[in-house]
Amino acid sequence: MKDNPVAHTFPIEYRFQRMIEEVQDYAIILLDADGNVQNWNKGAEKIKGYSEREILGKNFSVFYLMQDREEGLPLRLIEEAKVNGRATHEGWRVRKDGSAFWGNIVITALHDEADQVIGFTKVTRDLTERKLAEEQKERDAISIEMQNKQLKEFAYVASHDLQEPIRKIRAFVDLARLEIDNRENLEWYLEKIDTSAEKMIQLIKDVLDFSRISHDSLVFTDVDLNFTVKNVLLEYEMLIAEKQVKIELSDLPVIKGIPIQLYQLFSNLISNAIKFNYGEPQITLESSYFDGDGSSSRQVGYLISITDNGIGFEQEYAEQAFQPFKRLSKEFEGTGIGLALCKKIVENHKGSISVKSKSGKGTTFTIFFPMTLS
Amino acid sequence: MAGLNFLLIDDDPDEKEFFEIALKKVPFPIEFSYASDGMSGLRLLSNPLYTPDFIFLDLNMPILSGKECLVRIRQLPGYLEIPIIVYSTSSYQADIEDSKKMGASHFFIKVYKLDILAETITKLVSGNTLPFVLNSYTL
Repeated sequence: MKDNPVAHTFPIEYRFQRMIEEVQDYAIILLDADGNVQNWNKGAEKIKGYSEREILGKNFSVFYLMQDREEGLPLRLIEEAKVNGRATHEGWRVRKDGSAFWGNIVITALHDEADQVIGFTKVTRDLTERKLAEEQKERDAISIEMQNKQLKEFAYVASHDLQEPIRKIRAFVDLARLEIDNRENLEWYLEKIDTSAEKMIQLIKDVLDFSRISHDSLVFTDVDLNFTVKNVLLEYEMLIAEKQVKIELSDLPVIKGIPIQLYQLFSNLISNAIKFNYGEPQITLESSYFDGDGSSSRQVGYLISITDNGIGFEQEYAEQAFQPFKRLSKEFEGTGIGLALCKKIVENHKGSISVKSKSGKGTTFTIFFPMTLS
Repeated sequence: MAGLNFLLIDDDPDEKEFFEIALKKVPFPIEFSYASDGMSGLRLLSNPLYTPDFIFLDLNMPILSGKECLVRIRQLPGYLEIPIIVYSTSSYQADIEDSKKMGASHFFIKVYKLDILAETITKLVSGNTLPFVLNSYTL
């Protein structure tokens, strides 16, 4: 058996060093007892982005997120390794360029003859791809769950609201057959059939709108809500003139959103305010900046309210108002989908919508659009 | 059999008309009252001078739903035993079970053949023993 003659010319320590230095898939680092970097390998450079010259002597906590550093995670890990011999952890870490990777790390304590800790080895693997795949899987699972829920809702509606007009059409056809020679009654039945068909079409359209909202690609752009509302008012120009609607606008913010959905949101709210009113509707739109309520979540964003002097409803039905196919009025035609749609749109924008109402006095809808904190 | 009284609570006025047509085909004289929502139905029932013999109650109504209405009718004094027939387009098992739990006497799935409604009312009035769900589902 012939050994490689070159290998013999290097001492074993040197070969161990080269072995570690040339591993590319793992960052293998030697830390001193305080966690300062003592050596570096190709894997470390590849994963973390620093060259050996830049990083030697720096504390390994630079690889951690600011928040983890503030909470003392790096120190905790080497303390744990000191006590237990080793510590493992998985989490987001920071590369030199500020980008994040998902690191799986093992820190092992090194001891001298007297069993004193003289340093640590730290082995890090970049599992970003696996982590992202897992997160995608989780998101998919949630999305499937939500879709299942929507399907169930849809099935319920199909078993109820969509059947009603068909049943009525058939009933009126039956009645019309019995009185086929009575022209006056016949025309009346035909009118009824037509109304039911019209209702059916509206329901199908609304169901489609509702399901479409959840399948839209969520492309967020800067949306000037002043512009959105202006367009909505243009759409209802005729109705506004007819019902002598008074509208008071204030300056609205520019938010990150899905333009078509925000249009739909304001269109539904404004048309409701016009529709559910026996007199001359008065509508007020207001906006304010909300910089947190002192709670730890520190939600910052815009509050937008739309107030009307319409028929309103008792506050106890506020919850129902946002449920699909629930109507709170029998005096006005509707499918009960409008506010459910509004809620869904606001949720797509990570916001919330609430309502205050009093029967006979009017209604105020308040929407919160959070500003994404980075 | 003299002067039976029916009350229909349903937000859709077309149902009132269907009912009136069906009642003409029932071989008994029946007085018919109609309330277009749960609240006015409850008000009517709270009147001591008025007690219907049968109540037909729609489920899907704005504001006060049929189920809430059902519970509240059963709580009215004297209304523990009066037959309440849930009258709905829904043939959803959950709606049928809920109605039973909340005190409905029967469940009738709205059909387009008004003859079936008339026949069912005739059976009800005749005092036959009938299953909880009065008819099978046909659109």
